[in-house]
Amino acid sequence: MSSARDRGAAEALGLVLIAPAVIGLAILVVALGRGVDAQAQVRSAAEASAQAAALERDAGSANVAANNVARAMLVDSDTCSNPAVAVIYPHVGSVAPGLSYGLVEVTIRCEVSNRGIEAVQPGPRQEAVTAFASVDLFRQTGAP
Amino acid sequence: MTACPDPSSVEVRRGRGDRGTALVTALVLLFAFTAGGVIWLARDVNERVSNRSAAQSIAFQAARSGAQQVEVASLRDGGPTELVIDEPLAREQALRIATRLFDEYDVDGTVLNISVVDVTVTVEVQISDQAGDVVGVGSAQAEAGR
Repeated sequence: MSSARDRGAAEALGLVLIAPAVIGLAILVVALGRGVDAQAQVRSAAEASAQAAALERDAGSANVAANNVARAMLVDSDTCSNPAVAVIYPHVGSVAPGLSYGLVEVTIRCEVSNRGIEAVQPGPRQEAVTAFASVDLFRQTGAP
Repeated sequence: MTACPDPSSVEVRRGRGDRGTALVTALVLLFAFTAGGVIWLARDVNERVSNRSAAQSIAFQAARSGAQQVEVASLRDGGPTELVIDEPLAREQALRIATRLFDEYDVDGTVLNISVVDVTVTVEVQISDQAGDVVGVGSAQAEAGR
């Protein structure tokens, strides 16, 4: 009788200890997966934005093109909210060695939400990814 | 007068207590190792995905820069079918861009191969780090527009 009661208490205690640990581990897996996914999406958007900026002929147009691409790609507010796009366009007056104007640099910064994973990530996480693309010297007339 | 507890029942209870402590320790260790493993796996996957993406991007940008090195005379005089790439310059420029991008992305990379066939430049790069080696291949073709 006493042995059965002991076993029951031990099982209850085991559940009390194990259940939160299992749930915590599951939330940790979700949080890490979301982090990897968010970074991959921001990286992909940064590369596409850099490529779009590299096709433009001046810093202003490059900035607009990079912003348009980034905002079109980063539509999920959980993955990346309020993306800030910074574009560094090479100075056109100084042609880089070889037939190229150099590299355009695009950095996207945004906030990755912690919705649903507050237990392992108390606040939103900042994500920043930089991508580069070479600015072509020869471009077809009327190219985007 | 109180009765002395049976020494054998004290042993049994102590045995149960020891087993309980061992079980809790084993569970804590199990969860700690699992959590550590999950974190390590996520970091490793992230590193690999990041390196693969950088390798593809670097190879493609290097190939684009290489394909830009067309001979100016062929642009001036020839039609779209007579475009000629300056092969040594294309290789040099592809290598230069790839090397610069390895620095910009802060990765340990090497250019494995640059091939120039007609007007197509293909660049193969490798990025190495503790997560392993990843290879990226990029190809670009020069075209003359009218």
